[in-house]
Amino acid sequence: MSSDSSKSETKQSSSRRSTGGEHRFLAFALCNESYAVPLLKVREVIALGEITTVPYTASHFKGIMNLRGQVISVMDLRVKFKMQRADTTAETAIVILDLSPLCIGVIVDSVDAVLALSSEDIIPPPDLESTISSDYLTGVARVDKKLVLILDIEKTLSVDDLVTLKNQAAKRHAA
Amino acid sequence: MDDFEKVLKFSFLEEAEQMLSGCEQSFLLLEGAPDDSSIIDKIFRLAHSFKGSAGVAGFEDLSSFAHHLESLLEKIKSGRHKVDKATVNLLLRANDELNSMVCSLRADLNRRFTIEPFIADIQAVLNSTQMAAQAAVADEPQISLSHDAEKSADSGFHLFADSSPTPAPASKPPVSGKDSPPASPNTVALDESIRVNLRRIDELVNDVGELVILQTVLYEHRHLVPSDLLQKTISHLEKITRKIQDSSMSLRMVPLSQTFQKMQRIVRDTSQLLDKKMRLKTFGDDTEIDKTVLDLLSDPLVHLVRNAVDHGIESAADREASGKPAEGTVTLKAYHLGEHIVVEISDDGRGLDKDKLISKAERLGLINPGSVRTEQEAYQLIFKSGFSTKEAVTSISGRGVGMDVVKTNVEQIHGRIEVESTLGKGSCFRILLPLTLAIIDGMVVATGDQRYVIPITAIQESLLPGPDDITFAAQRGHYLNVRGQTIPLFRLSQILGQKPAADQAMNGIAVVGKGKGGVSFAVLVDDIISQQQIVIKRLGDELHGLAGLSGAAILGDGKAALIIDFAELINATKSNKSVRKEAA
Repeated sequence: MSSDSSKSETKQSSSRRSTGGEHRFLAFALCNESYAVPLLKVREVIALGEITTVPYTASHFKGIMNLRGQVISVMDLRVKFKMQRADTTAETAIVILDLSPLCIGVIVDSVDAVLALSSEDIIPPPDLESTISSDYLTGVARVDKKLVLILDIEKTLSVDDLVTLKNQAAKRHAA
Repeated sequence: MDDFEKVLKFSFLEEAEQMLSGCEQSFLLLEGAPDDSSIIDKIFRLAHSFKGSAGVAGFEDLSSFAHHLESLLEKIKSGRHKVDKATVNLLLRANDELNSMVCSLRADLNRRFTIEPFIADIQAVLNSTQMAAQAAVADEPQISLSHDAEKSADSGFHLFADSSPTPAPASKPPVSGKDSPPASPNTVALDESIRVNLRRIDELVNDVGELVILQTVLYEHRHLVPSDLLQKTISHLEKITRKIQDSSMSLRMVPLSQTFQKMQRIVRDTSQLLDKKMRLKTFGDDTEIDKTVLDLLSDPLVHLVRNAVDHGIESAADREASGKPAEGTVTLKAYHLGEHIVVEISDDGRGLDKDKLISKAERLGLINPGSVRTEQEAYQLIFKSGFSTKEAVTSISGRGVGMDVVKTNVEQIHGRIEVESTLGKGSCFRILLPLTLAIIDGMVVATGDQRYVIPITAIQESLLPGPDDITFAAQRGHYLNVRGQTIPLFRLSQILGQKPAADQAMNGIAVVGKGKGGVSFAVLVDDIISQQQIVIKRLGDELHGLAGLSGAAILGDGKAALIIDFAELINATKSNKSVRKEAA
């Protein structure tokens, strides 16, 4: 997304602020599609750092990284949504999401804008021609004639199936 | 006054200060919102636990004071007394009074107080309520209450005498010459402390860890700085940083004494219940241990101590028959041993009977007949789930759920438990714990382009195997010959589930470790990079239950690396068929 369009979006969002009942979202790009997550769930956005892979985890689990002394898990939604592999560019970033008690980083192609959307702007997810199943969406918004898919972040980052090699205690717990 | 009593009293006084400051805040809140029942409930709870704890600690004056306060609060709670400014004033005054009592008790544990005037004030407030209430409706309980109040009005002393059988000390001068000398050492022994949320300490430790990493970078590149002054400053900074690291780590350490005191109580209560004569000896209760370790250690200790009293020690008659003193002894010891803190629970009771354990386990179907032979193997049976040697289930023990929980809890804190026993002489359970959960000595190894950390405690030796030392058995994998002993050999990349390169030879450095059953094994790594202190970082909950990984570490260059528990990883991969196929 060009910087021009993001600017116009910001302008638009500020003009909408007066309507009230609106929520703010962070918009980012995954494989040329625009996605958004509630801004309140975002802790910070950082540059793509060095990630250490973790054995016996699902393929969309990229690994762990050091965030100022805290070890954070990083996921690649492009793999989870079975999208095309994207090259790492200067715009590639990690969005750190705070889903208490979890704190998870998500790799995105670029971070584009902060959108202010009122509830009327958001329509339920239709069966659209998107790469991802509508199960992972809470809604869709039209911003500047472009569709922004709003992610159900808790569902998207569900961590139940992440670990493929369980230890004894976890196995017993499951049984 | 013995030490136990002293510790009890001091820990109450520390607690009391916090309760009182909690009360004060609530009183002030109450003034603003006199009808808020949640505030009243909170005050009531605080006052009640204050009364209880004061009674347990043996401060009769405080307890009786709180008792009267509680009856006033009870009125407020039930809505029979309206909160007005005068009431709040009285409550606050009571709070101040209690605070000053606690303060003077800190200086002199035996100090007594004259509390009658204050109780009379409380009664006066209660009385005025009574009048109003009686005017409205006169029912049974209120009449009896006002009767009480009348009595105390003409003699404020009366109620106090009711709650305390020895009214005389109250009229004694506060500080008598005889009582003060033993009191002064009490104040010296007092450990000045504040309570800090553990999360804050963890944050501090995290930040200090990061500081150390940055400092290391700075120190390693100090020669790039042309200025002598700056180079010197960096060296100084290095020392200070280490000091900060040490002190931030020590913040998590707490002495074992309180936990040991708790055991004293458990031995007393349990032995009374079982009608056995028993005493508990403790050694090394000033040994310090990580708070997190201590919290998780408490339950296993209770189990082991109860077991020692119930199963270990025989009845007095049996003991005398076998020539032992009638009084049984349970010993609790804590000491440092190398990289470990050892907590030892021993008794001079009947000891573990190997044959009995085996036949019992066979009867319960926990093991196949004849599969267990050695003593150590037999002792390990008691840690199996569902095992209990006691025939009858009592409230203390015998359900067979204790020991396996003990073992799981101890392993959870990266400890292990050893059993020693001599039939007829007694048994000894030794819990070996890491000094702290936060730092370990680790070896950083590399395979491919990844680095991993292995706790030093898990490594027996590392060696460079020659080509003749490695043999291959079809379907069973590689074996390594270590001084005549043949042990299984794994490649690290293989047990990590990575596909081996087609032409990869078995070369590298072999790290020898010992598995849970005492079987040695070797793991081949490409290189050993360093041996260093590793600050353990917890992995997020999303990775909960991941086998073989006990955490992560942040290496000198700021990159995260996984800490591997070889034994568990190999075990888990073995039981995971798909991985086995891949590895074969």
